[in-house]
Amino acid sequence: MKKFAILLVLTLVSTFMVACQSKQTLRILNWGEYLNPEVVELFEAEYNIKVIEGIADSNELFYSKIKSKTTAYDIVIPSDYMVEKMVQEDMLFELDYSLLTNYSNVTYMEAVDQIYSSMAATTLAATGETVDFKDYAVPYFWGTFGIIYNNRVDGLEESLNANGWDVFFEADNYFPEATRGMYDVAQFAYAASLMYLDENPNLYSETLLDQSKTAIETANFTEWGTDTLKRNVEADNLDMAFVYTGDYLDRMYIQLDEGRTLEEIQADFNIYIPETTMVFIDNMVIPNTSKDLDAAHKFINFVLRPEMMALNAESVGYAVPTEEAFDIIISHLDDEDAFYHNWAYANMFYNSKDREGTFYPLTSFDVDTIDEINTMIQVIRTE
Amino acid sequence: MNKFYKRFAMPYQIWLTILVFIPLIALIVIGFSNYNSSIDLVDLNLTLSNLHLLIESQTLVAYKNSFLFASVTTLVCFVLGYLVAYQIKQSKFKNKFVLLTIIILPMWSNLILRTESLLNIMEKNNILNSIIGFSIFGDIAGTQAAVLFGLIFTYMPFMILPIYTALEKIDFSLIEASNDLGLTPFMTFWKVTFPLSLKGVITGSIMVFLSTIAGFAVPKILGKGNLVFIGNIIDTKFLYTTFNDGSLLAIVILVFILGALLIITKIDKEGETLL
Repeated sequence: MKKFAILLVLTLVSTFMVACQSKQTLRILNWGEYLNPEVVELFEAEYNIKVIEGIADSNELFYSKIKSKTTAYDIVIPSDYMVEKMVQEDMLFELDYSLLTNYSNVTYMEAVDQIYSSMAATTLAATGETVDFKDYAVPYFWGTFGIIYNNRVDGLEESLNANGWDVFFEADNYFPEATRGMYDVAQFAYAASLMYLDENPNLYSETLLDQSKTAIETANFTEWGTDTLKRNVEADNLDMAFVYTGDYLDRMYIQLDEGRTLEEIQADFNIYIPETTMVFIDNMVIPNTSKDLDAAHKFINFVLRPEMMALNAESVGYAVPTEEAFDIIISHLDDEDAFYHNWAYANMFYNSKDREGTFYPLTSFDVDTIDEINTMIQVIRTE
Repeated sequence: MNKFYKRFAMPYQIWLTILVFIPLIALIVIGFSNYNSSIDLVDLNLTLSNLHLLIESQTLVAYKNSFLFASVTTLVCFVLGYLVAYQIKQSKFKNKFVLLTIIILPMWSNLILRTESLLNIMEKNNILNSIIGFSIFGDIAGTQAAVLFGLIFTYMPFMILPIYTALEKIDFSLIEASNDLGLTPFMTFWKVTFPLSLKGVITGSIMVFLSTIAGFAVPKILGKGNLVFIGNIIDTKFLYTTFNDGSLLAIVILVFILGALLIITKIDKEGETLL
């Protein structure tokens, strides 16, 4: 009994001592499995700041959590259109670049700059205000959309590389026998058809809606799905589908783990990324709920280090936004470890910093416009 | 009912009020308003302008699909379900509970999971193909046949169980009397057994019909988005926060459900065939 009492006192005392040792904390609101724990450990060790991570699975949840101010988050990682909305509603602090010393050592990829200008253009069109999104956001990861295709279909690969979007949408001209799938999100279908028509996918008018409807009807999609699309192309049940490039990489890494080689996998199914395509970008921003701007800037500055960004990408798998981090990943091309070799190889192929083209992050249309687009798709499906 | 015992119903009454009655009123009000996520509550107005939605082509086709598939599913479930229930009733097997358990067994797994697996074996290349070399379904994923099969497969137990219960309750001496008085076995079934089991048939039919007409998961998964049910449109409307349209479409479904429940209470006053 006496021993137990001593133990109890000791436990209590030690608890109090830990509590008294007030440590700086940094609260991050993030997507699930979107931050390498090794990066967190290194950051905590270097700055003696404790990182607490909150998880949400949609941009809308990020928005409502920041708006309600229930937790004082210091960093949030929302996507393009949500950053626009947060800036418009004055929910973010401007970044203090004098604290982001690593910024001057890195170069954003061409695509990232394009995405920020595109966001500025949609904000200008919507509100009449000129915003430089670099004042609020530092890119975290980005990614493209593409057409995943069944390489067991003769000539499909060559045709896609030569004719791009036309092959996907003109089912009457190219590969009438091939089956085509589309993401079950009406705005994705609308945007894809506008890019095929050489229009800006972030514009909306009744004429564009009609043109989009005709294009989607011609494409004659046999499957409207989400995760099923990539699996069906992989299993030879579907020939083409418009998906996230990450969808392809996901299946590719799984097959690599099963011991197949990249060449074998690409011979079965591959992804074609058109020159004009949709993209997303996730960004580190500081919401105005933050109580510790110092720690927030330290974290952003830390992730900006090329080696940290590469380390983070190692567990997350999306495209890094800076050329320096990309070069570090590519330097693993000759690595003997199969994982690093494949990772470098995949980045060189699908996330290249040299990729040229036009990249559109999708804007968020208002409720009525979205309803019009949803209805257009429903009409096609019920005809 | 004793007043004292009535008090025990209070928690459930409060539950019903908060989670069923108030939302129901809200649904009706929102259905006839301009409410969506871009409207502030102060700007809320009542309007009849949503009604045009009910005569738009995609809505009509979706209602037609829902009704058609619900009707066919109910009919097939009735024919096959009655045979199964009758067989179980007639069987010499001692432990009929085991037979019934086998019928309910698929319902122990999650509906979405079951439907996804069904979709997999309906594809051209699937797990059955790679294991045994062929698939009994061939390549029907995404077609009307696939959706119909999925619906029948999912809702069959809802038909079998009430019919079986109704058959079990038939007094055997009535059948003996019928045989004594010289009716053939078939005529006995037609004149005695079937009319007495009709309550179970109607309960089962309504349970299958209502589940199918309001459902959207099975057609969405097995139809690969090619087949639009009214539930799918309601789903999309709410997902993209056009609450007024979604509510209006849901009210129409609700009217049918209430009508069906009215029939069920007329025919089966004690609810004895409901499990």
